[in-house]
Amino acid sequence: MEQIKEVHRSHRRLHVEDKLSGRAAYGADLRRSDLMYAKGVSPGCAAGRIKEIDVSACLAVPGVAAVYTARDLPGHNGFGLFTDDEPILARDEVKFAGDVAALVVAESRQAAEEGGRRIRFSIAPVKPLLSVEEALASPRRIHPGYAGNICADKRVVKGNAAAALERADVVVEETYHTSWVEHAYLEPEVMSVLPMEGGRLEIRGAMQHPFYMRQVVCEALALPESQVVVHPDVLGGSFGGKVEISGAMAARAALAALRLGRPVLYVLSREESVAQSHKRHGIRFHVRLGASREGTLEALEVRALMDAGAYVNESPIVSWKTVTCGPGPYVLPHVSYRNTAVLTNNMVCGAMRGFGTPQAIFAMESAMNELAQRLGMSPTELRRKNFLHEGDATATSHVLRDHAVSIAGVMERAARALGFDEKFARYSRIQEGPLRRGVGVACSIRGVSFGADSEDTGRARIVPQADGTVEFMCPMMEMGQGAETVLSQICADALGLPLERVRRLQPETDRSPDTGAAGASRGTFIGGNAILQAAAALKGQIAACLGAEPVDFSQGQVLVGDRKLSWEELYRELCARGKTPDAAAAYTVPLMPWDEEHCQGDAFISYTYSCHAAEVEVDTQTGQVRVLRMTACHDAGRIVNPQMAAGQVYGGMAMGLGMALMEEVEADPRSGVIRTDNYDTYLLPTALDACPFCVEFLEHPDASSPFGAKSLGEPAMEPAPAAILGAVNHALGSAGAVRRMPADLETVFFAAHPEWRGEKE
Amino acid sequence: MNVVSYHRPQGLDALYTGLEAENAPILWMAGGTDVLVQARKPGRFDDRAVFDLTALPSLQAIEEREDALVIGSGATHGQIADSPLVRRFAPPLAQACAQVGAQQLRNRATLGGNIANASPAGDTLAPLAALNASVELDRLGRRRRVPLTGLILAPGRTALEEREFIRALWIPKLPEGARSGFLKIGRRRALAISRLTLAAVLVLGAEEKIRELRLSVGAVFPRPMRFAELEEGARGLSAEDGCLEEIARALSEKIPEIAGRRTSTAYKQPVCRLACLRLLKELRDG
Ligand SMILES: Cc1cc2nc3c(=O)[nH]c(=O)nc-3n(C[C@H](O)[C@H](O)[C@H](O)COP(=O)(O)OP(=O)(O)OC[C@H]3O[C@@H](n4cnc5c(N)ncnc54)[C@H](O)[C@@H]3O)c2cc1C
Repeated sequence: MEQIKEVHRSHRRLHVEDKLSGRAAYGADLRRSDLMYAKGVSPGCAAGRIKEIDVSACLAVPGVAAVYTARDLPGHNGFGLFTDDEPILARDEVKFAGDVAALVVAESRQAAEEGGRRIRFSIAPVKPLLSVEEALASPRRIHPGYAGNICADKRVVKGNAAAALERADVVVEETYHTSWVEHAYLEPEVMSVLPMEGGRLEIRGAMQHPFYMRQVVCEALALPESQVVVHPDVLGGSFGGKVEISGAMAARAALAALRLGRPVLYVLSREESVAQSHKRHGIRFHVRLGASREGTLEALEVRALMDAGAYVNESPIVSWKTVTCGPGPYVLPHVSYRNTAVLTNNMVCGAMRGFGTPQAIFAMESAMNELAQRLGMSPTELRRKNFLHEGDATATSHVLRDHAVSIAGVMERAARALGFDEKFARYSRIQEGPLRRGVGVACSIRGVSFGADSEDTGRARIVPQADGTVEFMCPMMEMGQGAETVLSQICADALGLPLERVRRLQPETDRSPDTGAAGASRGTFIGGNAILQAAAALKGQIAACLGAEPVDFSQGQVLVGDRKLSWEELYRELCARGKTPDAAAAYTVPLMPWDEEHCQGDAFISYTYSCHAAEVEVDTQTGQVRVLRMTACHDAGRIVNPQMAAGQVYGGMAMGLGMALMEEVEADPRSGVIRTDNYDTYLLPTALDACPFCVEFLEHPDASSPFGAKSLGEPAMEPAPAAILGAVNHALGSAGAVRRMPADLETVFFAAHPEWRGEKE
Repeated sequence: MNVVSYHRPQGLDALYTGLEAENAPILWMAGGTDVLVQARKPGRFDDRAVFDLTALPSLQAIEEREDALVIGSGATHGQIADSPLVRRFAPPLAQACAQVGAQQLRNRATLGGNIANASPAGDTLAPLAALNASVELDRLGRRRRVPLTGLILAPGRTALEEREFIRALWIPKLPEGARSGFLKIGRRRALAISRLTLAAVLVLGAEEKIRELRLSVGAVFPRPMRFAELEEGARGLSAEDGCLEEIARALSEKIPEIAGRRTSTAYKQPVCRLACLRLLKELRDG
């Protein structure tokens, strides 16, 4: 095995100076004298048939150069990573208020705006289906391919949960709700398309998956992939958001750039971003959790229902992740967990940090707390009794053998850092006055990377240079999570080189191999493994060319058989023998035994174990909640860059705090139009709402992972909301006081004063 | 932001001459923190002539007079929150200004703007009402003074005449021994539009008898209000828990009475009652 020198060190983030100094160029910073501005225009209603789009008044606005509609698209009018049912430009039908049906292109942003306001849509309205219940009951299909409007319906079936619940001494049966949540990246979506010499198109902008941009553009415009190159700009936050919509925007802008022969910039306003982008699903969980009197879990039955919105997007994946990860890190002999996604005319829901698991963990961990209360146990006691250990089987019957199943130790660390057990006992006594304190804890098990339902491949390419440095490509997007630095650290150790001599080529699509989306907690794992494969391939090239083995990179030099060469010498020698070193390779997650119908088998190659704990103070007279401190412990294997990893967790906890207490996208129940269309009404936590965050890592290097490093992106956030809700409920004196997120002012106040309970605004 | 013209007079004389010469309707602008947000609506101020008041030094002063504090309309929330004079003679206003928006905003946004914008959720309105503030207005040099509660008529509507602007706020100094306080309930700890604000002044006499009580609630009524019969009724009562509870209940009952029963009433009415009781007890207990 290669030596670890650069991995496991808090290297300063690469290119951080650019961000700190304001030099970093984001998509909207593009300046060209011949730039044109695009604006997408929505009819703005949730459902209807488009009879006519009158663009004459728009074209009369000075500066407006063109308006494009679906009829102008030469190729395929659909996008979506897995199901391409969402139109790039809505043609005959409007399915939600964020559908874009026309694109105005103008010499100035103002002209584009003005033109957009003058487009007249004549729409034959259709009564929109704006709730799951309505959509399930309606004979109308929002998409012809989905009977009953059900677009995903995953289930885990292990043993016989119903029968086991009959026998269980204690059964907690409750319903939990979560709300629509915005990704809320500071940078709204932006794409630009620039015609290049030779008729090619350059796609730029904010994106999570450059190759997907190329795919959507080429399909929509019927272009060969060689005609398009993607050069992502610096990305101002994404969290699962800038995938599909960015592809659609790229296709629209590319259409304009191709027709007009001019560069086109397409930036969304915040209101457009909120209206058009997909959201985190609001999910309703009906949970039945059964245990013996002694607190041994016996069965879990969950019936979850979620509003997918108008298009399928990533609802199937969200459904799958909630059923496979939702049961949590507990031994559960009987599980029936089903999550049904229903198409409606509401905002589209899709991937957002966790793919539904923060919601599912909230439901499961709340039920655990209610069970503990019923049994007279503390939350930690009940969990201790039921944690998975090595050799145990998960809810999908995956017998955990090949990695350290460390959730017990992980929880102890997070709980100890908060002083959980002592505080739980103290705050459980009667508290005087309006301010009440409480503590909460939440645990999670998260599969590394996509999982058994998807093919999962990463690619990397390593190109040694004449001067002894090495350039590598692994176009996993830097989204603020530190991918560039972490992958460079891994590449350095894979080659036995100091970090300064390794240089990552910025992601692009001409020379780099496709490594898939930066998402699903796969960046370090898949990217790192692909780099190790490429390093192995490079060794193969060297061995074959120099006719000697083994090749070893560990000493800062290259050992080939019994020869020792510097990287410069190696390069010269390979060239002299007619070979230019250049190694590309792929890593594919091995196929695992899997029964998709019942979601049984090895769901993931490995798992990250996490626990967050929170202490809060609730003002029972106003409903205000103040989070006093949070602690976290994660076993994500070996931590490649401890400081950046801690940063991920700080951000994750802050994001979870928002989801727990204030974030909620609200739509008008009659029109489906989003009311919280900017950050004055959609509330995110500010720095003053944050609290001291304490982060620890329990490191068990993982055998299947590059240098033992598993995943952290989603684990960093997923248990946080549940931990905070647990603490709020503890402060309110009952584990079931609040069963919905966000626990906002009214919700908490009415939980504290049921006698005044009224309708929330 | 499209407007007819933009003026930034350096003194009052220049302001008056500029106004005389301008035919278009006027849009006053101070910190711009409401105006620029409103200007995002296309066409909103197309017909207006902007008079930017930030270069008028006389509007920024905070001065002590014999029995009043005079605060220039252009004083920022930050200046007011930090002013020893305001903290001493009008504490609830200083407390309210300290909680407006966040620091960047408090560096720009002004008291005059907060009043003229006349949002029911404006944080300074309840304290100003409880402090018996009056507003000094100026129309082309002609000045008049009106009570704050008379200036604001309805959400977004004031009794300001065309070409009239707010010069200053006059706040009578609180009587010796007066206790006063402010509280704000928002959905987060900064940059929060108030769900409810409350300002109170309490003067106790011998044996904890209420000599004077003033109360004003924000973010619930269409305009800043005081309730004379409630305040008069409290005079002479002893400030024991039961009596304060009665006052708090009576105040909270004004919410459905005046604003009508809305979905928010279910929350605001009991919270107003609890918060009022809490604030009054705090003031009583010093
Ligand atoms: C991010 C953000 C957070 C905010 N948070 C809060 C908050 O917590 N609490 C709160 O109360 N408000 C808040 N506001 C609203 C706003 O900042 C305040 O109302 C502020 O006091 C307005 O002052 P200004 O000087 O910026 O007014 P401007 O925007 O300049 O003017 C506001 C209005 O007053 C008029 N006007 C200004 N000065 C005068 C004058 N001297 N005479 C006559 N008319 C005048 C203008 O014509 C305009 O109609 C917030 C705003 C933003 C953008």
